[in-house]
Amino acid sequence: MKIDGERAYSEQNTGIWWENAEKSIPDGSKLLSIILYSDATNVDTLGKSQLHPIYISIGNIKNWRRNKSDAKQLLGYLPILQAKDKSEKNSTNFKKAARQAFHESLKVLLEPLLSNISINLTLNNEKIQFYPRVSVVIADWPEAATYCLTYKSTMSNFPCHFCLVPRKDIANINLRNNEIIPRTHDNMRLNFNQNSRSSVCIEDVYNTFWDLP
Amino acid sequence: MDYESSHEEPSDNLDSEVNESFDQNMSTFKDDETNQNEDIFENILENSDLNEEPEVEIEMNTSYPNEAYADLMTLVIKHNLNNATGNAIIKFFNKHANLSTSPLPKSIEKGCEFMDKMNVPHLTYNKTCVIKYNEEEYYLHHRSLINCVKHILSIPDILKYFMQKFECLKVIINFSLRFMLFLY
Repeated sequence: MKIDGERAYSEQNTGIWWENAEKSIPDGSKLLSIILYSDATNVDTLGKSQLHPIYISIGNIKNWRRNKSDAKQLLGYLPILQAKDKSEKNSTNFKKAARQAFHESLKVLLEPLLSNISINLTLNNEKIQFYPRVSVVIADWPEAATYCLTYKSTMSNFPCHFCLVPRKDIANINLRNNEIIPRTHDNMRLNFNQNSRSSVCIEDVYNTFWDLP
Repeated sequence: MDYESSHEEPSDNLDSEVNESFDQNMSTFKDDETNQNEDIFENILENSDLNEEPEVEIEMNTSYPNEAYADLMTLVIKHNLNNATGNAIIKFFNKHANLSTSPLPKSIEKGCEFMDKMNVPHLTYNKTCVIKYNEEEYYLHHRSLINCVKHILSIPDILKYFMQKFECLKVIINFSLRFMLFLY
């Protein structure tokens, strides 16, 4: 049942994130919402060769238009590390290297955003100053875990990459709001710096997203 | 056109690799082996590099040599024609166009090579070494994020649907609807 005057949400620019992000940039400039998505895919029928493309789209564009194939661009191919054998593939070293490669790549890709600079774009012959911000990252579960550097296993103590709800409570629908602690850049970074990573189930790799404005 | 080519190029490459350049690869491979045996590996490699370079430089262009060339490549990409069909089109054109010099590439493979070497500013990929693992360097192939954004925004109709400001949406139920709800 909808109540008259209740807040409604549709496109990205009606959301709370947009409202807050717009407050964080100087007056007169505009927000450029950047959407990233990636997934490793097989490029042959045998599944022997894989590529890991990462794409970019813009959240300012209305949803139905953005979903057409021309409104997105291939940003790059992320490297896929090769292991000699299965035991190496399961080794801690290999997994850590893979995570490092992933976040190093993101650092290179997102380099223009790291320094909180604005970009000038000419739209309809009007020069507008934009501040680019990553708004959404679309990924499947294992990849989301790599983005957030959380433990991939569903048997870890805090299996969700969004929140710090313990495993036994993850299916509990009666949780109250104050019992759900979100994972934020601040609390994850704090645990990372204090060497208490395992208490919140995150890996020993620096997360590039912590540096984004 | 640029956009299409960026997507179709990889498959074209694969085609040509599979069909044609296999034999070439084999022969160069053999050459390398003999070079190693003779211990003059580096000299010969340098020489071969020199031989190849002029070709590359001639073909560093920002656009196609002529309109017919561009149209042919667009046609091949659009309908996903294989190399044999493309070459047949070239033959057909050359036979019936009655031109002294053909504007088209000698073959589709040559056309693909040309496209690969084309220097389109916002389609250039950079290669950055990201990590060294097991003595092997891994590269990230990527484009500039800003260029990608500019490319998306250069699509003609997209600015009509481009939102620039935060909007606070509120539910508005007009009276007649409320009345209907009440009735049900």
